[in-house]
Parts: sequence; C-alpha cells; structure tokens
Amino acid sequence: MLEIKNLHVDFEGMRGKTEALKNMNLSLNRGEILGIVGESGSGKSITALSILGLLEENAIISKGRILYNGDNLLELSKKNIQALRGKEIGMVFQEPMTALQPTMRIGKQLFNVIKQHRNLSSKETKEAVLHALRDVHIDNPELVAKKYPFELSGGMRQRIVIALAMAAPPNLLIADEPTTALDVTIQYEIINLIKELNEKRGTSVLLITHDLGVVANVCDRILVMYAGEVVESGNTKDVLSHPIHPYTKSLLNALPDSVEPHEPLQAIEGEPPNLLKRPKGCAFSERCHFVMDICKEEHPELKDGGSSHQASCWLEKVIV
Amino acid sequence: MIEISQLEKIYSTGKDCMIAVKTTNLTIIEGEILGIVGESGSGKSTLGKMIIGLERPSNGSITYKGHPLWNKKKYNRVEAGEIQTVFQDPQSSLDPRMSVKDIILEPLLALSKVERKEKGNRERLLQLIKRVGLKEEHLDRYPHEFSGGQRQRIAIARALITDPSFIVLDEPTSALDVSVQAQVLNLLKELQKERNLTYLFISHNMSVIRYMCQRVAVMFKGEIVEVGDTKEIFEHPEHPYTQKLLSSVLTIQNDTDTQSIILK
Ligand SMILES: Nc1ncnc2c1ncn2[C@@H]1O[C@H](COP(=O)(O)OP(=O)(O)OP(=O)(O)O)[C@@H](O)[C@H]1O
Ligand SMILES: Nc1ncnc2c1ncn2[C@@H]1O[C@H](COP(=O)(O)OP(=O)(O)O)[C@@H](O)[C@H]1O
Ligand code: SF4
Ligand SMILES: [Mg+2]
Ligand SMILES: [Mg+2]
Repeated sequence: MLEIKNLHVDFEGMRGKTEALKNMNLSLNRGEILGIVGESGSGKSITALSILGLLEENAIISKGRILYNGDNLLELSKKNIQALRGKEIGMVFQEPMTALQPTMRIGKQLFNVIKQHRNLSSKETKEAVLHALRDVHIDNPELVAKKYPFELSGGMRQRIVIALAMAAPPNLLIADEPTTALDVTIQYEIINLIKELNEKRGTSVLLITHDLGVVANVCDRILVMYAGEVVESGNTKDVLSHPIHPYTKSLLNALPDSVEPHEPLQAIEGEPPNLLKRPKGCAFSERCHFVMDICKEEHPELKDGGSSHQASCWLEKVIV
Repeated sequence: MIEISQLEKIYSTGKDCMIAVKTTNLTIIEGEILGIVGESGSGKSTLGKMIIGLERPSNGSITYKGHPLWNKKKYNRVEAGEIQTVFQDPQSSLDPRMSVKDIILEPLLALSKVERKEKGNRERLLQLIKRVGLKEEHLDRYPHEFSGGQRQRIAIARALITDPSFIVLDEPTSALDVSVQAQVLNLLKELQKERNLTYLFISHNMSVIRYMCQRVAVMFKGEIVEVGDTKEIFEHPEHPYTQKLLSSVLTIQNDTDTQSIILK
C-alpha cells in the first residue's frame, strides 16, 4: 500500500549539500508493521516527514516517488496531502505535547477530529469520543475527556495522541519514536497498544525507532538505516538473528545485553560519516572490520526485490 | 563510604507539597558502582542532588566517610572536588559560551590556589583529555561543535579534573545512541577500576544497570523499595514494582544454540 522508490532528499545549507536520504526504497504491505531502525541522524524522521509532506522548506527531493495506493504523494497538491494526513494516514511523534492543543480539553480535541472525518451526529460523536478513549485503555474516559493535556502524565498524553491519530480511522499509522520519551513500563503498554490496534483493525504501521528491543517485539519486517541509506532489510527475525550487514551486526553486539558484566562492550569505534561529503564507496567503510579495497571505491547497492532478506554490502556479494 | 539515613525531600509549591524522596536509608560502599533505577519522577535525581549539594534535604542525614554532608541548611563539602557529577544531557549541562578547556578546568575554582595550580597544569590536562578520548586541538573549541558522545567525554573529563573519589552519574548515556553508549560505558568502567572510584549510577535502562552495577536500588514514588545485588534482583525481584519493571523490558533474546530469536 505504501511504496517509496529511489527517494533522494537533500538539504541545501551554507556549507553545501547534505545528502540526508540516498536512494531510499521501502514497501509496506496492508496490515503489516514495518520497522525502521537506525541511530540518530540516519534519516528515519526524514523518511516519515517525506511521506507526510512535512519536510522543512530547505529540503529538496531531488529524485524518487512515494506511492500510496498507487498515487504519487510527491505530486499531490498541498491541500490534497493535508486531506490525506489525519484521514488516511495517522501520525504519532516522540513528544506528545506537540500534537495536542494545550488549551483545549481532551474530549473536545477528539470530538473535533472525529466530527471532521466521520459522518456522525453530535450525539454519536460524543459516544465515539468515549469509545476512542477506551480503545487506548483509558480507564475512566468521562473524567479524562474533561481534562487538559497538562493535567495528564506523559504516558497518558501519548495514548491520547494515538487516539487522535486513530480517530478517522486511518489505514496507515506512522509512529516516529512514539515511546522514546516514556518509562519502560509505559513503553511496554504503548507498544502493546499499537500491536493491538494493528491486529484488531488491520491498520498498517510504519514504526520508527532507534530501539532494537522495540522492533524485535512488534515488527513483522524491518529496515536498518545508516547514514541516510537502507543497509539491510528483511523479516525481523531473520535480520536480528542472522544479520548480514556488518553495521547491523555491530549494532547488535554493542548492546549491553550482549556481553557479561566483566567483559568490555563491543563499541563501534568512530562516528557516522559527514553527510556533506559521503565516502565514495560504502558509507560504513571507515568503521567496518571487514573493509576491502572495493568497499572504498564502489558503492554497494541493495538489491531491489528478489530475496526477502537483503543487505548492501560487498562482503555478502563476494560470498554469494 | 556514604550513609544515607531517614533522608527526605519535600518540595512545597504554593499550597501543595510534593514528597520527592520519602524516609530513605541507603549505604554506598567504597569502590562499588551502585545503580538507581525507577520510573520518571520517582526521586532518583533528587536523591543524587542532595548528595552533591544541589538540593537541601528536608529531613534526615547523609554522611560521607563519617562526616555529615549537611549541617542544618548548609552543605559542608568534605574536601573540595572529592564528590563530582556527570549529568544526562551533555547539550544543556555544558555552558555553550565556554571553551572546552575552561569547562574542564572550572571545577578547580573551588580548590585552593596551590591545588588549582597542581591539578590544572597543562600536562595533566592533556593526559586527562587523551584518557577520555579527546584531542589537544579540541580544547579551544566550543560544546556545540561536538557530537553527543564527545560532549559526554568532556563532562567526564570535567568531573575527573579534581581527582574525585565519588561521582554521581545521572543518566550519563541516556541521550546517546547504542554504539556511542558502548564507548562511554566502557570508558566509565575503565576509569572506575583505574582510579578506584565509587559511582552512584542513575539510569532507567535495565540493561545498562545490569552491565554496570554490582548493586542496585529500585525507587518507586520516592521510596527505595528494593536494594541488593544486581544479579540477585534481576533473577529474583521481590517487590511488585521491580517485577513489573523487569517484565516490561523489551529485549532481543538471541539464543546462541539455535540461533533463533525469542520474542516476548
Ligand atoms: N524543584 C522542584 N520543585 C518541585 N518539585 C520538584 C522539583 N524537582 C523535582 N520535583 C518533583 O520531585 C519528584 C522527583 O523528581 P526527580 O527529578 O528526582 O525524579 P527522577 O526519578 O530523577 O525522574 P526522571 O527519570 O524523569 O529523571 C518529581 O515528582 C518532580 O516533579
Ligand atoms: N532542516 C534540516 N536542515 C539540514 N539538515 C537536516 C535537516 N533536518 C534533518 N537534517 C539532516 O538529515 C539527516 C537525517 O535526519 P533525521 O531523519 O532527522 O534523523 P533520525 O534518523 O535521527 O530521525 C541528519 O544528518 C540531519 O542532520
Ligand atoms: S561493503 Fe565493505 S565496508 Fe561496507 S559493510 Fe560491507 S564489508 Fe564493510
Ligand atoms: Mg528522528
Ligand atoms: Mg532524573
């Protein structure tokens, strides 16, 4: 239902051109939860913002298409894409406060959104508000509906944001780091909630996070991003238990759980490349233990289509 | 090394009052890394701040090597620079208008002239920044020119410049990516061994706690509900909140024998 093809996003700045996304490809099937993982600056949010038509003014989409049920979103007018947001595509971001109106009661905010997207009478809409709150496991919806956002905890607020995002109801939910600002116990509840909405309503989900634990527990498939490129993709289980790309392997090995307390952690030395001047070959070559001559000269491509588990690495191609 | 007894912190805002830390007792043993976990708002940072002198206890006492740290309303620093701290967000905890060199040397201002000269000499400074993974040319730059991980290295150098015995680390890697977190945790652990430091290590990340701390205290609504050996608590959590906390952790469990991944 959602397909991104060869998307390139650049930022023009004083010091030159930042290549924030390079040849991004993605496909999300109906009813699926697709995860995008990667470290900060790897291009996860830029991907989400591109789909939603919310990129900042200085962003340039130099190439590519974003197909939603066959339509290229990049060719839609501002008005049409705005209509699509909220109705067809719901969104949840890291900081719940940005999605809420600080001076409007929770119930009223939900009322407005439901009224806008669904053909209901006022009485039915009021019912739907309470229903929406119950769906995100708010115990006493009547009471919470009367509250203002600042009167709620961070976890409650994020539930409200999810309720708002799901109100239309949309066919696709894009969640960018929805639990990063929350406590472990609340993260667990929110992640389960997203999973439940996906199962019950068949909503497709694009879940963006830097937390491998989160993707391991909810996503059907994942994409691993590094320096604005997808370096590995496949079924969650395949990617996490048989990673192909050295970056994915290093990332998993760097987790504190992967060693005993008396052993040193396996850090990835160095830093990601400067996106103002990417290396000519593989973006990971400066930090990779397996680097070969070809890696510095030629850029390894991710095979399009074909096998379900793939990585953009010369090593894999040499072995295969 | 540190004895906390019947410690309380009550914040009063207008007519409301908020008990941030409730009658807490805790012992920190010399040479250990003691972890503090708990949900947001459970009082972890408040506890740390009372030890380093940033918040005044409402009741109770804290002693450091037998000396009371608080005398009524006044904080008695033991020996200047003995107790240091590293905060979570390297972005906001470093003064953006100061050069890296000035940031690192600033804690020395609390020391005597003689000590300041001795500890602030160029050679020692260079050795220190090299040890934390920075370079000499970084000294004249400003915090915004550095990545999150590098800024945390600057904060660590700043804490070490006075040659402390005890450091409060409040979420030192929470703002960092896994790969950078691994670098910083390795550094912190090595330094602790090399210099026989004692850490109070505040974190909400259970995996980080398991890896770093010999003992851990679990805080819930201002109270320490469980304290003990990390391994013991992870394997046999007693308090319901600890149990909930541990069962909420989303991990990737790789079974090395079957190479299959177990999802919870
Ligand atoms: N200066 C203050 N005035 C009033 N209340 C405060 C103040 N500082 C902290 N509190 C309250 O005290 C409680 C404990 O706060 P504290 O910062 O110690 O929590 P924490 O466990 O460190 O949380 P986090 O994980 O979010 O950092 C919270 O309810 C907080 O709102
Ligand atoms: N408005 C902007 N101007 C210039 N560069 C930007 C802008 N927004 C993002 N970038 C750059 O694009 C890259 C990807 O950013 P982002 O998608 O936000 O990363 P993340 O994976 O952490 O969500 C980063 O290198 C970032 O610095
Ligand atoms: S292409 Fe080469 S440098 Fe890049 S990840 Fe593969 S082996 Fe490493
Ligand atoms: Mg982001
Ligand atoms: Mg805190």
